Amino acid sequence: MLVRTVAAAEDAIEWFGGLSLFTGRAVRELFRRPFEFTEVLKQVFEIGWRSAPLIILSGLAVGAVLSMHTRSTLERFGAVSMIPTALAFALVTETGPLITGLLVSGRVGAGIGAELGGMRVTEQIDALDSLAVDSFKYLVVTRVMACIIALPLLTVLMNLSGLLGGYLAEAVVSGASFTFYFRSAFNGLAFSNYIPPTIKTVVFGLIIGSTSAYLGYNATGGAEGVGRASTQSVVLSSIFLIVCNVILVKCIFFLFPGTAL
Amino acid sequence: MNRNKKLIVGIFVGGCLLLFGVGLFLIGDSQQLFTKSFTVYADFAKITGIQDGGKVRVAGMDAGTVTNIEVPSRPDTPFRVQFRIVEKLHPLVRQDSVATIQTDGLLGNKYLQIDAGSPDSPLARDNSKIASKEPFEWSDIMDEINGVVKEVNGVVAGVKDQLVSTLSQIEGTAQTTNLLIHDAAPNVKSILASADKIGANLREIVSGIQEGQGTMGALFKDKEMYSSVKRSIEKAEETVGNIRDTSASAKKIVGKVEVSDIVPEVERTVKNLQQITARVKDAVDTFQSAAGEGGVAENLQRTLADAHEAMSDLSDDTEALKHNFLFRGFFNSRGFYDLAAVTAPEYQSPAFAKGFKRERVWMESANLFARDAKGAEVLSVEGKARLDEAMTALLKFPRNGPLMVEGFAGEGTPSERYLLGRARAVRVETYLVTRFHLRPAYVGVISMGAELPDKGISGGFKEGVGIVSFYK
Repeated sequence: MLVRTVAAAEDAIEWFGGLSLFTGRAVRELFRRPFEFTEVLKQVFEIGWRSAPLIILSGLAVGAVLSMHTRSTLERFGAVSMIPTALAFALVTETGPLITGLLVSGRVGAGIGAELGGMRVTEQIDALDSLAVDSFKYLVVTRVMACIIALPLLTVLMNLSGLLGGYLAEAVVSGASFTFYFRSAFNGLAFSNYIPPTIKTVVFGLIIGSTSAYLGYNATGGAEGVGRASTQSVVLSSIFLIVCNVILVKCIFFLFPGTAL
Repeated sequence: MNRNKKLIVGIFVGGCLLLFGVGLFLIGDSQQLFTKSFTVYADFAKITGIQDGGKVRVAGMDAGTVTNIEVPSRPDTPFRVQFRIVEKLHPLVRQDSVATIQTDGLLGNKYLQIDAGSPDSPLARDNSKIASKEPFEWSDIMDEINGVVKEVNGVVAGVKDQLVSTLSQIEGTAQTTNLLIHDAAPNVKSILASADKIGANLREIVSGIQEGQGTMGALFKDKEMYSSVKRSIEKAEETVGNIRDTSASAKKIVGKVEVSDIVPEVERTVKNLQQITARVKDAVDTFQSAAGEGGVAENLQRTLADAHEAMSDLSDDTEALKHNFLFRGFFNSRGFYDLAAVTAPEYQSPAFAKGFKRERVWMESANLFARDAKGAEVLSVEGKARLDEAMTALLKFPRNGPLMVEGFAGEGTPSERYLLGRARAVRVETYLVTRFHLRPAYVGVISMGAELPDKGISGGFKEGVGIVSFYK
């Protein structure tokens, strides 16, 4: 039992080491030629653009729900006028980036894992390598780059659609004007509340792209391995994302003390 | 990848970047970053959580942000808070404007409030310092409330002590009032009895006056005057020649009656009696309605004083009536004499207290008096006991006549005997009046010292005092 546990721990550490080396290589390759712009644009289209409807709809729903919860809470303190500010603060600083990362990890992570896993088990990656095409550069780096680019953009969409959903929910209840609502929403925000949380999603993109690409790129065991890689991509990238978010928030508080209100 | 996809990616990326920029602009606009501004600063001992980027409001309007907070290097040096204010609000920010740190609502962020300065003060210059007022904190208020609560507790404790003291005083006053009422009851009853008696006498006098109109002798119930008039009438009948003189005399008498102050005196007496009864009634009402309440003692004392005053007035009035020659006979016939003016011969004459029975007690001076350090006679304890015993015996008889104290002295010249006898009588009279609450007007002293012991009423009694009670 102990031997199996130790062996499992050694496997886990070995796997995590492999992921770290894989991620480090991906980051390193990001800045090395050749830059596969076309493939990157293609992945941005797949990862970013095709995720936009999901993000916008989710943002509207999350914003509306947050607005309703915020109203019911602030009404107790007679602070209804602070609903736009509170909602914007919650969305921009934490809720928007985290939900965006989780949604993208669910949709994109699974896709990357399944796609690369399928290419691995069908030896397409080996074929690319045999054709002197850097499969890592072509398949992994472009997807990681696309995730890094798409996550902040999707976070912006999530934030604004969330604010819009909150406004719609608030307008139904109180009839607040659009201008007043958005001016009030941004009135309580500082740059330190807006820029660092948005930028941190770059790390979310790196985590989602590298984790799902690693699992798919090293998939084994045929179709079953592809499915396992797809599932593990979603689960592990979400876990890593949530855990890493804690560290990132702490880093933001450290670098921008004004953010930690 | 076809052109459309690239276009879509471009739109997606560009649109998202644009939205991000819009967000940045809105935040910057809310912080007045894109408008012309000027910078001022203020010093605070406590900044109560205000931060860089915190809002600044001028007269309640968003006006800028806090740009820098300089942390002091020494404990006695304040924080220096530097902040930026939009230029359009510069006219409100004067050199006498005051900066305070406020809270946005109950749970909101801290912000810097700049009061609009006075119109006469010059504009605050760029990078200049304006006055500040230290922010209050709930902990300070709680400390003050705590102090106030302690003071209130102290006041309540003091009030409680005062209440207890006041209640005890009220209780004591009530007890005193009860005692006063209890003690005053006999006096009031005595006053009422006297008033009734005086009223009866006055009614008798008034009825006599009313019945006597036209008949002077019957008018005043004076037999001598009646006889005189009767004789005059008889003379008038007998002597027709003198009838004119007689009638003139009668007219003169009638004139005297008319011009005399009898009727006004009677009226005044009746009014006094009415006042007495009204005051006594008020006093009784006061006792009945306000018994047990505060101030009863005072009302009681005032009522008693009024009653005594009224009684004194009435006493004066009746005393005046006694001395009026028209009423003298009436009073004498009823046993009222001016006891102070009675002489020894008058006292020993049969006319004195005619119609009254007498009860006398003889008391030897050796049993009554002792000598003090100066050799003067004073009542001894044994003497007082004997007097008490004697008066107890005399008080069995009706108290409707005067009480006379006769002083006897058998040694020395007549004047020495007179003085010693009077001194003895006065000592005994003073003791009796005080001891038995006798009315002084009904107690008289008479010195029998100048009289020969073997004559008069003494029947040989030489040294001592005789107490005589006249009664009917």
